[in-house]
Amino acid sequence: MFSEDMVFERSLQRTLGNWAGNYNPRPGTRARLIRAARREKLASQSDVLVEGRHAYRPIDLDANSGVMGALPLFNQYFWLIFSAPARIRL
Amino acid sequence: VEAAETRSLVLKLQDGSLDALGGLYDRFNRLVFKTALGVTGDPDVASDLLQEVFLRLFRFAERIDPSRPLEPWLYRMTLNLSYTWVKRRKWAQPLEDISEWLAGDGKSQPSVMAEQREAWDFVEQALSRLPLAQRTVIVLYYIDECSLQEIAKILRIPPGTVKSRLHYARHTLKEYMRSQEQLVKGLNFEFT
Repeated sequence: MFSEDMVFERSLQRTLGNWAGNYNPRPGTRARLIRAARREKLASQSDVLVEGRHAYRPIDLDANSGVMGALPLFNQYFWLIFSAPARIRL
Repeated sequence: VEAAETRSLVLKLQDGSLDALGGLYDRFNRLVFKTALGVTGDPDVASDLLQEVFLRLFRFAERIDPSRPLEPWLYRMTLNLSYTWVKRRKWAQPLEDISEWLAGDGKSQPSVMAEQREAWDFVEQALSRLPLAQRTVIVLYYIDECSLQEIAKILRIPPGTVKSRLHYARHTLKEYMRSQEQLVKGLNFEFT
């Protein structure tokens, strides 16, 4: 003979188990997961590429601050600035 | 064998393998889905959380120790995300509406007989009445079929606390069923 508590316990286990087993994940959840993970993977790889590209920038603004920071810019545009009057005369 | 296969999949996942992610999903999606469903009471939300848990598994794969079982990590992550969702929902919605949304609006529910649907609604309403801490223990014990020791490890609480939460949760459920005069009906349903 089962006591009331045992019957209740068994009933609860079966009812909750059946209830949860009655539902399934939305169709396509696996595919969406893989797509999202692939996007994250690609994004992390492109971050590395962007960092690499930045490393070849001629001017590192963090390292060159203040008046001295303008020197690379001055060097870069020196000939452009001083050749302008000559080009205007021509 | 299963533990060795899981370990191998986790190692591949740590190398960024999407196939390994799919393999782990195939192996553990029911575990995550059922747990999220039990705590949130909403299959659509459980599906969203399922995706989020595995996405985080992919994102944080390097932090996982492959020599240890993966299940406790999955349970903890699922419960944390489910708690966050339930708390946000509670904050955003008046308390009296909670049993209604837990019962669902029918759009994503399986096509079952009216009698069975009524029984499921009853289960969802009964679960929704439990405090979150007790509901979690009920879900892990009855739906996920974890032992008291396993629940204690997952929740990082003493086994005695698990026992007492289980006791109070059972008592609350029993009282609720009695008050709704569903106990006899539920038992008939189960044992026939």
